Amino acid sequence: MQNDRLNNTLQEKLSGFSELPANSTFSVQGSWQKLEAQLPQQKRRGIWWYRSAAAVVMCLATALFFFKQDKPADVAIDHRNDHVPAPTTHHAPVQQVPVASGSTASTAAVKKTIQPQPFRQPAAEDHNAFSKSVPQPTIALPVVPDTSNKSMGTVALVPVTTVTPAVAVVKPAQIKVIHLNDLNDDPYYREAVQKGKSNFSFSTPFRSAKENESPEPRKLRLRLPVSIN
Amino acid sequence: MEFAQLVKECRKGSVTAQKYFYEEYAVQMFLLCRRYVKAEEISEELMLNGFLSFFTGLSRFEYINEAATIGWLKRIMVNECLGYIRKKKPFLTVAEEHATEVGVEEEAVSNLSAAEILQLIEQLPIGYRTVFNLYAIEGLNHKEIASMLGIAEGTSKSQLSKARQMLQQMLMAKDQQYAERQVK
Repeated sequence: MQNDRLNNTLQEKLSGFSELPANSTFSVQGSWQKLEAQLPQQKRRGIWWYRSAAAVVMCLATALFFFKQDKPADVAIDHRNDHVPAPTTHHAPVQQVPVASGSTASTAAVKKTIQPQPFRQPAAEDHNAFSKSVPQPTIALPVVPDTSNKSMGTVALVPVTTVTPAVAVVKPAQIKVIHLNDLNDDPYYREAVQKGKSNFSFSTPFRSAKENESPEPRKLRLRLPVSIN
Repeated sequence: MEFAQLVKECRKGSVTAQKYFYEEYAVQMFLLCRRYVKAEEISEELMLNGFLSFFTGLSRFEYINEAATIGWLKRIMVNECLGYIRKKKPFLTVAEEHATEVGVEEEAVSNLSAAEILQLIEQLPIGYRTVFNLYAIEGLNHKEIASMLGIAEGTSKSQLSKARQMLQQMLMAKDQQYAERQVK
């Protein structure tokens, strides 16, 4: 019990005590330098972070610069100070004077006028009262020959006669109808004969008139290339 | 800066916060190491090792409050000192049969200042001093001390008894009135 109280007293006295003895050579700053050398250094941010951050800032600045330069769409266009180029000849319309009747090529002079077109100031911004006049181009008229001075003669009329054309009447020729079998030119028959010639050979003996009169029937001998049993 | 914020910055690796923390607790931890190890240079070295372990181990430390954090720091320092003391093997020659219960009057100690108490503790031999520190100041029991120092419980008890006897003698020598009262 006595020792427990002693322990408590010691703990109370020593727990928050932080006073160096007079003869101590301990230096907080000096020991910190030793400790700092041993401590693992905090990782530095890689240089890529700085580079990427700078690139992003540059992109934003560029985008902002171009965005500020854009004009808004509702600004009115002022034509008062616009410079108008001088008109050129090759774009000007050509005007031709129509040729009078009876004039020749030498007398029919073609007047070619090239007039500079003055620049017309566009109308004011009053879109309701806008009007535009389009100049109609002059179209060259075709030259018509003058026939008013020529005289006309009378033409004698010939009486109308009716002519009957002579048509030779030919009697149609009589057509003789011949059956195909009579021509002995049946393609099926010829084909069959050709086939028979290739596989069989027929021999029919010629008989005299007498033999034909005999009652015996005519014998037909068939020669086969292969003997039949 | 609040203590929690300070610990958070130290955990991130901020050298400024670590320096601030070190300056706050360096002397206290140095004196703690001095209670175990007499030599100043060795105490400083052990303290620096303890702070290094503390700062590098902060990432694994779960912050609760200031007392728990400082308690953890003290424990680191004590372990550093015990690691050094274990190499010296100061407990081999101590016999267990010498362990007897010796009481030190609490009034005599309470009259002393903290510096005087520290001075008395420093005069104890290393074995006595270590067990006395662990038992009387750190509040560990003999079983814990025995396991920490790698000795038997009886050895721890006898070391404590011897430390108290020695302290009593030192107190008697220091305070003559205290000695006269003890004689009566």
